[in-house]
Amino acid sequence: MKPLGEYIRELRQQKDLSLRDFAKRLGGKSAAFISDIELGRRFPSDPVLEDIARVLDVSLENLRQHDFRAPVEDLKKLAEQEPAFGAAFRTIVDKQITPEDLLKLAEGKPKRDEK
Amino acid sequence: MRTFKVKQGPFQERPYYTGNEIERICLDELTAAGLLPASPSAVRIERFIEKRFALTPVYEDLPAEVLGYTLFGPKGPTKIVISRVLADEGSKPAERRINTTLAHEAGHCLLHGHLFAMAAPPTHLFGSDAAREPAGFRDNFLHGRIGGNL
Repeated sequence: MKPLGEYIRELRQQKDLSLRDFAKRLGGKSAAFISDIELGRRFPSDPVLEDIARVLDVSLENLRQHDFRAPVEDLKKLAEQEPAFGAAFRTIVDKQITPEDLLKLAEGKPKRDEK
Repeated sequence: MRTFKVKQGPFQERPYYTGNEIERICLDELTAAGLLPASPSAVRIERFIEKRFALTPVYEDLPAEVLGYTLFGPKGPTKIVISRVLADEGSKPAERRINTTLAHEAGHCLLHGHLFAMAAPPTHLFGSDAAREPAGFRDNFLHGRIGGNL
């Protein structure tokens, strides 16, 4: 699966839009800003991502599937709401747990609302 | 196209195109890309570059006197860079300057790419960025060293 920027570029080119055509349809954004998004140097805010989805005729969810950034904000919120998460994250870092090990552990557990 | 041997500059020869040759090359290329306007109107130069060279122009911070440049590899252009200041300005004159800079760089790609396949390219661009760039040159460099036929 392609990263978000590459995927946006692919969809834009399929629609035969230049960077500047696309930027104009997004309410007059700068072509440099769109170029940065396509190159993965910046990530669009939620409202801009909604506009991108609208102009490219895809769903917001479809675009979000290509956003591979670590959900840092979500992790921060979790740690703030439940300090035990902070300690757990620290343990993961200290013990150099691999993503594969984490996924294996997580996939073996049911979702909370499935219990 | 005629070719002249030169003693100065990064290449051993300099191409010379007549106005008619440049006109024909541009018409043929725009037609092949499906971007020749049916009636007199603006050419979609950014899409031409994307379709013809499979490159999307990149907008980056450049020194004040540089509007854009093209990097070449042995197989042709590898990167086209346009000054971010122009894109961020958003005015009509800035839009026109982007168009003319893109057209200028596309001209380099069409008319001068072969020079890089034939010889070692220059290794210096400008300022401290030069060391990071493998090959290429800025507009005025090309105009000064190869010829201002565009």
